Amino acid sequence: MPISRDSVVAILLLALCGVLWHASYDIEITNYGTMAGTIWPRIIIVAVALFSALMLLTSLLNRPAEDKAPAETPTPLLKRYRNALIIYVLFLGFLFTLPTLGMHLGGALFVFLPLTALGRPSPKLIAIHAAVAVVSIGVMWSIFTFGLRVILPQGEILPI
Amino acid sequence: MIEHVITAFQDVFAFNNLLLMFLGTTAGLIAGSIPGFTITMAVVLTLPFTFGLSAVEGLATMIGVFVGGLSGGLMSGMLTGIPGTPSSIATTFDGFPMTRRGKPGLALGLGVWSSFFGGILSAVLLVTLAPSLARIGLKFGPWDYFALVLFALTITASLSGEALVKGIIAGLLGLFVATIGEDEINGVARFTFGSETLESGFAFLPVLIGLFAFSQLLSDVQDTDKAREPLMKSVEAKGIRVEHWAAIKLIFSRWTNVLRSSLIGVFTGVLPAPAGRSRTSWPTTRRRRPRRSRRPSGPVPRTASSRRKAPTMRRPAAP
Repeated sequence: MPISRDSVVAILLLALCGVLWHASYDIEITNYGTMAGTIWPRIIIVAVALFSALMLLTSLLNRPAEDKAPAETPTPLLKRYRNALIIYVLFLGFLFTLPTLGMHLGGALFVFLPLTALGRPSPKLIAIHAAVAVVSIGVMWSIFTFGLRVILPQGEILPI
Repeated sequence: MIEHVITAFQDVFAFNNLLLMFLGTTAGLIAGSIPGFTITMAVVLTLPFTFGLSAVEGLATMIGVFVGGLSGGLMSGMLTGIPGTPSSIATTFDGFPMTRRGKPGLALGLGVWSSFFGGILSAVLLVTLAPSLARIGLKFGPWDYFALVLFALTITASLSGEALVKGIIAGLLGLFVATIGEDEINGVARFTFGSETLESGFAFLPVLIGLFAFSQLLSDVQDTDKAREPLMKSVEAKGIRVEHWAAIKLIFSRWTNVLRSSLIGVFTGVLPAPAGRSRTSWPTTRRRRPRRSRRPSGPVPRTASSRRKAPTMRRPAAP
């Protein structure tokens, strides 16, 4: 019997509430102030947990009605979220390589790689993607560096 | 009082002040349309240029930047779905779907003209009622703020329509995210998991861009063929013409919306701390619409409701 998306989300939220409740014990309790720093977060966690439980209950109770609906052609999970996963992985890669590559190189790569990964990989398009990446990041970098005098991450490879 | 108003008019309509306002508004429009570049930053960058000006000229320039920034934020919000400024968040709810349906000119026109009419109404109300409104605003205490925040949360939850529980959970998760970082009262770290980066919490602007830009990106790239399509299928790339008259006619046909949203803007604007007037006005207007038209790409006037100008009495929010 397939579990609905709401049920999965509710279960994940309940698990998250458990983790956060546990993490709330790491908050330092001070001997000053009238209200400890744990009070409001715990109230919110309890409220989220209660509503998540309600959501889980509702989704489980409503499941028979959902089952009666005409079934759509199932799409493989990996295929469905392939592009989103690519974006997430590339974004994480951008974040972790930022201290090394800097905003200019890392940014240009972060624009070029998703365009190429999601677009059709033909030589002409790859050249266009490279041009778009270099020009867009170059303009952005120039505006922030020279126009607004904002120091962007310089990186170790090309520290400018 | 009248003589003060006349003197102010004489100052405002002096040629040099009008010129400075024009320059300030242009700079504000550009700054506001850049996602991540706030109006406050634009005003701060303008400040050094005003040192050599008189008080009236300096104020005219900075107010021009501020007002231009407010209007500039709607451009990126409506055309790309990424709000240029936090005050433009609500314009993305309806303005961006309108743009995707091939009506970017009308969306921009509605945003600009409702900003204009809302600004005029707010200014008139402030000139006439400012002392009384200020007294009300200053009487607001902690309990009143708490009630106002609770009210804001309930109307935020009501936005999710029939999925009320999901809306409440989303609102609560937003509240929880705000608790991450250093506790402002006791100065202790909360939910940082040993990360120094998290100690300063989440700044509003990155969260805003992440929520709107990244979620839009992810929904667009889900289907590779759809991702290759242009944002506006029915509009030629030659240029977008702002539909001024159509926008004005639509705004006047729903004048109660303009009035109601302006009153909400004035009331929440005189309160010393709360922000998010557009997010207060938008759901109120949404709830006034017939149920069948509450879809995301729904009717035009809600775009107008989110563009009411804020009164200038608002104190700067605490950092």
